[in-house]
Amino acid sequence: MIELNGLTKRYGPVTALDALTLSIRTGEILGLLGPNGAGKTTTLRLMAGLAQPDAGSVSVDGFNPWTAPDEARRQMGVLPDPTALWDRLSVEQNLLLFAGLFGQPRAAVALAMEQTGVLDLAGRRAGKLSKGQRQRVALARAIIHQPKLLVLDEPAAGLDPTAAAALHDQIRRFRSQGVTVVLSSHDMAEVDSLCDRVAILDRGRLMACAPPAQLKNEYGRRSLTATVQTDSGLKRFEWPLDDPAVGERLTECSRLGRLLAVRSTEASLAEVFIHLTGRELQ
Amino acid sequence: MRAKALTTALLWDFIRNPMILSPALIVPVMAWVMTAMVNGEPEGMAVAAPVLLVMPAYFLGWMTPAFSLAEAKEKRSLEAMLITPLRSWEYIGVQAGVSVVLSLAAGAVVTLIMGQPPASPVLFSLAYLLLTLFTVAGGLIMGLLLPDSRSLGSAGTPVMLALIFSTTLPWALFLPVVWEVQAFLPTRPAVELLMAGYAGQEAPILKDSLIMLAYTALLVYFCVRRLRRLAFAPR
Repeated sequence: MIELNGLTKRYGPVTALDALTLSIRTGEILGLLGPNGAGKTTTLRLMAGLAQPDAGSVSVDGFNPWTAPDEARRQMGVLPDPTALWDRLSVEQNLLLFAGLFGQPRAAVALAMEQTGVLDLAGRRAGKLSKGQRQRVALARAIIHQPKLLVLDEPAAGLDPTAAAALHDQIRRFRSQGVTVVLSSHDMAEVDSLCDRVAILDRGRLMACAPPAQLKNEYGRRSLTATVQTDSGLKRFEWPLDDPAVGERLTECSRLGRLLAVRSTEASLAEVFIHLTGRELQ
Repeated sequence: MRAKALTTALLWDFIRNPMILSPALIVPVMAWVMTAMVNGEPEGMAVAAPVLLVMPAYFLGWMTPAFSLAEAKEKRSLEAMLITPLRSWEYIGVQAGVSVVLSLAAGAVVTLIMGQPPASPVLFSLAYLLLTLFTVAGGLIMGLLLPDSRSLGSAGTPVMLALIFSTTLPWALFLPVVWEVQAFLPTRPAVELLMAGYAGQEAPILKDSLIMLAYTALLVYFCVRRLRRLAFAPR
């Protein structure tokens, strides 16, 4: 669906993206994970044809967004950050504008509103909406022309957990309909639960790209946690699962008191990030 | 279809925008007050007419696109539109078209309030159209240059007021040197053409028209260049 080959973008002396090569498959959710300044938004802007690469190329379903912007943009819907709605227009008027810009009939507005659950907001002014509602309306705007690809820049940023979960469900529904989704995020949990593959970016470079489970297996450490009821209260012990002496340690624990629980814990993407970049994701 | 959708959205946005609605309401009121004060006296009208005629072109023709564009940049709605098949020249064209129509409508209302029909309606309409095209182009470039809508008050409005005063003050009477210097600026041709059409005064119509058109074309050229640069600027 999308091919990024040796994509490089510099802003003055700063290299925002350094020879990024990535292939995004049809129907998958790919997450770009990294801290601010990692190159996530630059990657999305290059994909949308909003910036010209200094080197390398982008292909969206066979079209270069810079040299064939119309063809490429008809394939993709973009949810920018911030949502950039017209605050003085109603939700329906916002969507009618974009339906018109994409040459879509009026019926496309009702369909997009239904798909994103904003039908009840049709007459409300965009400026009066909550952050979560604005995000859903912006998503409706992004899918107004029923694109094959959705580009979402920090889609759940600033949303409360309920609104974020609803948005994630919506994104999964798009995937089930065959839509390819590329999203940027610095939220580990979001990327872990939502994405089929995660591309970890740091200082403009791609550090790794694989399914979250594979990343955790390769770069993280699974651990074993034991909870023991001792005379002085509850105590928790933790060892790496690959520690050869883990059996002996458990036996020692059971001598200290009553063993209440033994649980193996998966590695987290946070550990993967630290392993790959040598620092925490801020 | 794209132009129609954008025009509809812009009109709804302007109707609900106090920054644009206020001048649209204030201009006719000011025209009514000034006309009543002059009370049809020829000397008073000779001074008041340029002010009254130039005001709607600047207040609506200049302010409307300047505010609209600066706000679109500030809220990033401009960028959201430029990742659709909408071309930058289409966006500029629609913004300009809507602003021209608003300015012409305001000019027509003010002329009616003034109560005296133009001596040459065709020449007056041409003069007003040329002035409007210039002010709209100026408003567009101002909107594209300023970083946000708040900057209009500190940077955009002073430029507009300087142009209004340069155009409307009777320089020929009290400072002829300035009047001479202004011959090749857009300010003197504007008022010469307007007064030729409205009061039948003599003016180099072809030369003035070409000067106004040249300045307008220059501003439109910079608008299109600036718009492309802005749309693809780094975040």
